[in-house]
Amino acid sequence: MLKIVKAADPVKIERINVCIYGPPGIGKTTLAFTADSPLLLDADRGSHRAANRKDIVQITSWSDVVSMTPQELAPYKTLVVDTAGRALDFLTADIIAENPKMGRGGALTLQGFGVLKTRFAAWLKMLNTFGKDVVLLAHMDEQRSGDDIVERLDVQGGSKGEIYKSVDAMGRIFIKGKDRLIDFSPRENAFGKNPCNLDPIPFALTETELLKFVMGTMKDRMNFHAEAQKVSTAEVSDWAVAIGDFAVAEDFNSALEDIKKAPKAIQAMAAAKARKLGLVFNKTAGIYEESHAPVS
Amino acid sequence: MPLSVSVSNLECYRVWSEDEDLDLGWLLTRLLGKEPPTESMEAGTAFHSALEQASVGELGALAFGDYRFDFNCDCTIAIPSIRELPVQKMYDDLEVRGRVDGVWGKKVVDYKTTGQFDPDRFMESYQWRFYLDMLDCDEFQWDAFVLAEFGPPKCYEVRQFHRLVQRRYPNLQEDCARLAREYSHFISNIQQLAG
Repeated sequence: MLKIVKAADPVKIERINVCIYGPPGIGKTTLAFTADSPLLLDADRGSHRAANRKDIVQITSWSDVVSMTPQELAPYKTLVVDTAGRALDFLTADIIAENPKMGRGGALTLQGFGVLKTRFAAWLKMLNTFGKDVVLLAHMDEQRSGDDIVERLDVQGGSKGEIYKSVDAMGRIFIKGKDRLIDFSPRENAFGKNPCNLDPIPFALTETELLKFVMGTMKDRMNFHAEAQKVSTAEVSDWAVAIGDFAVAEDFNSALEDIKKAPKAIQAMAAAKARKLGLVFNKTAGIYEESHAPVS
Repeated sequence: MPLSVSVSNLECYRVWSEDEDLDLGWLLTRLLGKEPPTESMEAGTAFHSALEQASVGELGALAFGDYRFDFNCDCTIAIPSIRELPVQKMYDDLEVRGRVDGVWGKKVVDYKTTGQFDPDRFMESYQWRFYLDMLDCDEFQWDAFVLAEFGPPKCYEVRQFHRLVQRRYPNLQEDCARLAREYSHFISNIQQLAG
């Protein structure tokens, strides 16, 4: 069923999903422990290496993951999945155990991959209903593209797409010279999602509240953008209706100064409508005029 | 006359420049518009046209011309304030032009039809970067409809719906300007070779 609705106002953002990826041992888990009141679901058995480790649940099967109750999670504000790829391995084993036809030689069949994607997406949605921030950690997969190396999430199959869809921010940890940085911007060879225009952030493994601060900043900026979006949507909608009624050069000329100050989309819409009406802009006079050439 | 290129052809140039298996003929065929439209491209065009004419409500199917699209998954989309907006911007001497499917405030929406949802391809592309830059917007939303042929010719089922969002980042404008420069340089070299 296709449901077509009127655009709704953006809602206030109380919680976010973040994905952080990088090579093994670079400090993903250590950074994750600097989130606000974190509980780490340790599927990778690597949390002991983090010097600043806090509360941990060791994951030995998918049932450990899905059996957590909202009451058990109540003391925490952030759930950290370490790593999403390893959690998916447990889910894979669970799917094959439930229905052996979904696997062949320990790996999922095509149909099994479909189930994996669906169940992983459902689990991410369930985590969101707990009202917690979620941090998904992932190892990095280096893939060759011509002479270049591109860095991608090391997460199996279509589940990677579910992560891209569900996260509000995605950052990559890397070492440059002597600095360890997290960068949320997409780069030529790496993916990213940067909801608040952050420059790469250098950090030390001794940080205590860095991710809490970064995620708090993201929420503040996303809510600021949501407010700006609300205002801008109303402005663009009003203009779209007005320009829809423009019929002659004078309609454009009388609104020209306001159009110049309007959002770029409105300027583009006005220009397109003028072209459609066969008007041309006289740059010398600074006004729209009837064209004497045939309209193409 | 300034050099002019569509966002789609700039994206073809980027893909070609990053894939050593694609030869120059592959790129020139696309830049010169000599690639005949495939059935899936025709279906995508019909789907866009059908969606452009749709209004608020619940629909089990969309139709345009001889094409029919049955929805076998749930998808909810909102009608943008502006639909099918032609845009253009100068990057030095290169005019980059395109057509966005929809705009709401500071958000651009793009409807994609595809045989398989490949988010890596969307994330890698420069189309979203150019549209955000050209319209000074902050957020880009793909509404991807996975189509499969179903029953008689020109009949499709919409099997999956995916929504993916990407956002403006600090060096977005510079990245667009760099690709535009590289393309201008490439065209200049081609013109010199052609005499």
